[in-house]
Amino acid sequence: MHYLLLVYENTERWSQLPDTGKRQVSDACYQWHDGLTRLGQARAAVGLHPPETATIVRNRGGRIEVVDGPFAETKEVLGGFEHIECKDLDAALAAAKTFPALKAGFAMEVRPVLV
Amino acid sequence: MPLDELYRREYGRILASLIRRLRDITLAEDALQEAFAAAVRLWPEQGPPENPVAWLMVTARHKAIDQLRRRTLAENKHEEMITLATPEENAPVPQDTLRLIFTCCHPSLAREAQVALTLRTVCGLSTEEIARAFLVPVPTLAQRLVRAKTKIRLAGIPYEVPDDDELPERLEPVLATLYLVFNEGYSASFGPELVRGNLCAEAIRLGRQLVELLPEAREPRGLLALMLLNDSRRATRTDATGAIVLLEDQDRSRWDRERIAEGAALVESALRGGPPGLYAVQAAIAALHAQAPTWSETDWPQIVQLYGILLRLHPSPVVALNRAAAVAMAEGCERGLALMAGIDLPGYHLLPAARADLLRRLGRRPEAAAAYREALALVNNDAERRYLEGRLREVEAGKP
Repeated sequence: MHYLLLVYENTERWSQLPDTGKRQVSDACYQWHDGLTRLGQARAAVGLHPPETATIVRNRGGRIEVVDGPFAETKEVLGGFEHIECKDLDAALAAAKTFPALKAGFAMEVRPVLV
Repeated sequence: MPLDELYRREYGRILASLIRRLRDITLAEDALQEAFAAAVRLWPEQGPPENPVAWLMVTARHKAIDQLRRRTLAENKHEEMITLATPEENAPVPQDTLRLIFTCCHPSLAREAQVALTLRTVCGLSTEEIARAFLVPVPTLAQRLVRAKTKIRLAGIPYEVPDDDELPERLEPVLATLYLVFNEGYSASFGPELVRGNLCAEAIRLGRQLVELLPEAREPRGLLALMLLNDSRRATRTDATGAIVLLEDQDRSRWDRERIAEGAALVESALRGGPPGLYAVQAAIAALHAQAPTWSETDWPQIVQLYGILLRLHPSPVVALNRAAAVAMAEGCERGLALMAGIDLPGYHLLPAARADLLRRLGRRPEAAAAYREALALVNNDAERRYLEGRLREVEAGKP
């Protein structure tokens, strides 16, 4: 099965973290990804710039419009994703539970991928 | 054995084995329904087969193969066909039931979905029966079941017993689901008694299976003990008019001694061999109540101690309230009231109700009446409302 592990970061808690703390968490996340690669589970991984850099494209009243910013102001924003392939949901959850940034207030959403 | 009894006893076990082979809950359910329908048709004519369970399993498997053949015209399902074609034993494997329980109670499913799915598949209750027991419209419950089964399939929820290191964590939602089913039957004030008694019986039956299948785990034994001990009092909890009879006033000669003996023995083994679990401690409290010859001869100091342990394991104001009520019995109503004054449970009717009870015992009638009114403003359950109204009338009339 393929799963997308969607990383949600808590912007408030993240901004309060000192730079050294941020670096520690990021390093641990790279190591976590390398671990998944060694297990043969990692397929792709992407980290994102903050939501202020986003642009939204949508259909409004039959017209495609391009506007600034995320849909809504929320504390939890999509920060990136990890695409893995593994046996079943329990294996995916096992990988998600060891994601180091959970300790920094991040959350992870585990979604099966359409194949 | 009549067919309906066979259905009750074997449906879940046969289904569990079919699901392991087919890896598709809906397909297995449909096939087993068809097999039972065939039995209803054929057995009266031909006489029941020598081994009814094996007959049902083989027939259901053939029905599934038929379904898959029809499907394979459109899509490729060779893999499933091969699994089905291998000759296998025709008796349900107990381990399969355990697999099914863990799948139905997977933490990625909502609690209400876990409950509905467990009752539907493992216990074989019909969608209508479950809907009636939980006062939910049938279409709502049917949709809940479909969604849960779809999630199991699409999200890849495994059909496996978790590894030993995961087991304690994964057992928790299983035990919580069983206890919720039991309590729904035990304490709900609505619905016909028959439906509710059925839920208690199913929860206890599943609890027994869990104890049998996981002999090493102690908390399933604690939960089974707790359910048996509570259930031993079921007949005496309400009177002929449906009004609540408090533990204090229940006819103890009508308590089910067999259940109490079984529950008490289970408590002991659940408490041995490690730190006590949540269910085992609650069961130990229930056992002390069940074994006391009268309300006043109950071992209150021991109950206070057990609530203290429970409070450390699971700090919650509700547990603190129960402990305070026990302290009132062991050390006097004033001590209980003092403890209750420090408990914060906004909106919970049992806090003012417990205070009212102690104030009434102390003869502080105006304060008791005020507390009963406070409780009445918060209560939802009709039987409890009638009880509180009765008490309020008593203290207002100046009865002791």
